[in-house]
Amino acid sequence: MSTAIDWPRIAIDSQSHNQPPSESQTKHYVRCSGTSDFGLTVWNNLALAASVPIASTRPYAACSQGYAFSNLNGWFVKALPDDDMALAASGTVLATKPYKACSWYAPNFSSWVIDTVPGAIDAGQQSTAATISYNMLPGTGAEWFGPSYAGSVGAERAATQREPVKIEEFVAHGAALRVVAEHFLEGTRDLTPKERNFLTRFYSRVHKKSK
Amino acid sequence: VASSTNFPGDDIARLIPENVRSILEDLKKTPIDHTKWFYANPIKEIYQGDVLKKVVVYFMDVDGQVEPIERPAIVMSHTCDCQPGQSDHVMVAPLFALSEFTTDEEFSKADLETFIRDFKENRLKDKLYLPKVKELPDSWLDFNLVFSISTQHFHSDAFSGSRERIISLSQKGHYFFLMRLSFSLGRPDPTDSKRNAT
Repeated sequence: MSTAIDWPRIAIDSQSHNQPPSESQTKHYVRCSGTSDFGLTVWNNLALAASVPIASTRPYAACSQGYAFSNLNGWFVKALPDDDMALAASGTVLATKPYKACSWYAPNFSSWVIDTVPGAIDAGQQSTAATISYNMLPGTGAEWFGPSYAGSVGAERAATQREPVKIEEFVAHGAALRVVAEHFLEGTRDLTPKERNFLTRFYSRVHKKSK
Repeated sequence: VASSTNFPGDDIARLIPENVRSILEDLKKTPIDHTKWFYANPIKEIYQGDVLKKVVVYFMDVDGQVEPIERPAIVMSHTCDCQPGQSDHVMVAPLFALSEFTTDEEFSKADLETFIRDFKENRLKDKLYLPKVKELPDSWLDFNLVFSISTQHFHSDAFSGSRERIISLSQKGHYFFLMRLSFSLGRPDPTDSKRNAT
């Protein structure tokens, strides 16, 4: 996948469920990096969004019940590793710092986004239900996913015949992973200088031995 | 670094995919029974976290010398990316045996014992401990030592010997691997980082 392609942003709501997007719904664009564009394994299941403004969105009420999205007003894009499907959650805020607005970056990322885009959101906006739209990258054989089922946020099978995906395994995978990692790896530490030198000597010895 | 205090104790469970949620209990016991939940037998396709028997990787030492070294190695690339015809390269990381450590004048036996204990308890940030299994001795992976192999070569007949696997990671083992990987490579810059905004 090429770096930073433009692809249509498709806003959907319960009325447009399972219907193709209209032309007016696709007039806004986000620029999305693909799953392979960041070069490191860790990014493989992440797609980061650039800061092309999103002018408006259509609310999708059920999404507000998703625990992670309750007060979300930033936006992010995330791609599934398998199929390059991307999901964009957007509100009225322009993501001025798209990298940091990515969902995986912080455990309580809605608050975190609010904190990190100073001035971009006020208390009133924070209570706005998140607006979620699902987008497919072109060329994947499927145009879009339907909206979530009530009570959770996920992508359900639509035109693609794919299995439903729960938020824990989909939208929030990266964010959750980071939280879980920090929770359990809290006790981890850096090497001490002495250990670091020891390891450097070790690697050097291994290298010399191989000659 | 963002705090995880929003998810005290077992509340963390709701963030973990159902199929690996029991890792909560496993991690509490670690290193006890580590091997039981960490590994699984390989299946046909190459998966992220597969441990390869022996791979030649190149290593640059402190003097800038580059030489091949042959090692067991672990597949770092995402499973999708290491399939034939996907990404151009497959990333692998060499594994080193803890038994290869030897004390020296600057690193005493006591230092080494502490070091190895922390390895085995997975307390070192950039390192992942792989407990002994089959012919793989107690080993570690250094997330900063990664090597790329052409995908075409990786899947070629010439590489078939190197592609042989000792073991794979279980679902839980892989989740733990991702946890360590994301922690190691994806942790945020400090908020006072001097990096330019644009």
